[in-house]
Amino acid sequence: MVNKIIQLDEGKEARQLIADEGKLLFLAYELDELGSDAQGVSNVIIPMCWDYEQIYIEKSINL
Amino acid sequence: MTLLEQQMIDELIVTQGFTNNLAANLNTKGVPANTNEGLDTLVPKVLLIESGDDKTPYEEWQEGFGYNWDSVVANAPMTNSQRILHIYTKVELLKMISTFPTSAEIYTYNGSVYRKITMDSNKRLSFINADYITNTFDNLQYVCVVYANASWGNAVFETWLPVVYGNSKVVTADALVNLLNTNFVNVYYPTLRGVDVNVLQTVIIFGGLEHLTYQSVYQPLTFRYEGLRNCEIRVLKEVCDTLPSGQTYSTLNNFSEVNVRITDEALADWFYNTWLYTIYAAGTRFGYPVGNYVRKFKVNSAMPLKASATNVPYIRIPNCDYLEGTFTEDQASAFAGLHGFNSNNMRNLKNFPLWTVIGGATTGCLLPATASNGLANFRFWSMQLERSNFALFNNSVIDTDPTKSFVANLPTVLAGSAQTIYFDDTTFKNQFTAGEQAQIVSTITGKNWGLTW
Repeated sequence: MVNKIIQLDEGKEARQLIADEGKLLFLAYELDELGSDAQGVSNVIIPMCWDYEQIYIEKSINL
Repeated sequence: MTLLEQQMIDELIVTQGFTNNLAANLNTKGVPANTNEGLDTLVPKVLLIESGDDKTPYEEWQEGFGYNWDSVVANAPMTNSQRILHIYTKVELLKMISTFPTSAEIYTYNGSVYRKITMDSNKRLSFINADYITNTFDNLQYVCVVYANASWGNAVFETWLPVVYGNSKVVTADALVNLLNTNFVNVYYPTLRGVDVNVLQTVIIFGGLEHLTYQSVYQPLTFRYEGLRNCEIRVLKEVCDTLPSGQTYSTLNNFSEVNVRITDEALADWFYNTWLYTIYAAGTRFGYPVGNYVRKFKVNSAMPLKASATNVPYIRIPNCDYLEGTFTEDQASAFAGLHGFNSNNMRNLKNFPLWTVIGGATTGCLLPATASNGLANFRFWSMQLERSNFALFNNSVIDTDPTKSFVANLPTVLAGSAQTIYFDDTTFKNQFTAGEQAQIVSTITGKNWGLTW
């Protein structure tokens, strides 16, 4: 997982998470709720205050 | 008088002749007109002429029988007055339900002769060639059966029957035998096209039904509907439009199973934006499969979206191009923020949902979810989304008026709940400049939402 800080307007920042190649990022709680139906994303922009390491789980794409 | 003036007068006389003929022809066609009118008013009246060929396929099919079924019922040489007429597709044998009353009188009618038939011990009715009638519209053969009894019990026709038409207008309390009241109508009567009943009580409008008339209405009236298309929605609307003033009705439908497809835009508008709100006056919850579509879905702010203990509050409104109006969340809901605006049925959506702004608030009234929950996330499946009300900019500065855009309307949520907004169309953001995108991301993440776009 790539973790980037992106600069926004007026000096604000956000965090961008980018899944490694062949992987997707899943919200941990959606994995609990939906199991294999959970929708993964290749990247997401999140507030700096999120505890992203607990919130997102990176998983390999099963083709 | 000059030659030119004479020519003009001649032409005016000819024109007045045309005008007089047109006025006369309009009157012949039932459109009021007189010869004092000019062509400027007479010509548009041509559009008021009724085509005269406005019969529905059902009406043409019924005319193909050439019988007045009420008279066929009345003239049947039967003792009992509680009479039911069924038209069946051509069959040699009908197997009635095992509890079908042996006291019933049963006759066939072939257009000129009534023939009494006897149900055998295995509840079977046998027909002969002379029983069949031919419909001159579709050139198919049918068999007409008239049943009579002193009174009818419950569900005596609840079995598979190839019935195409039912008439129970003279049965005093026909709600249980009028073909509209079975829970299995789609299974039992897949060929049914029309019914003329006495009392409407529980009405199941189903795919294939083209005609329904009634004599009176039971209070309360209940509708169920399944597999509806334009024709059946017209039947439903005709029934509802003719109900007595003050008549209330409800539905027994499980909306997660309802499959309705209406391509007539006006009918879809009536069904989704008028009728459904009528039957759900006490609280609205939708659950439509993806096939349900209406061009504009008019959100009724007077009806808060309220959670249910038995059904997660789930906005699965019909697929639509545009949402009109604002959602109003029950501010005391035990399921705060679980809007469910992430279902895959919103495939055609072009604009974004807004929540009502209450009392001068700086955001819409969507509540922050109290904990992480997938139903609190937004997922926009549509590839048709427009930038129009997602985010607005004034002189390149994002507009914070919560009544105008989705971004400004979003509430601030708990960082710990990790709510996200997800776009399937990753090119949507390209409708905004880089500077606008930065302000959008800043606003969204500033309200603690995550964003994938």
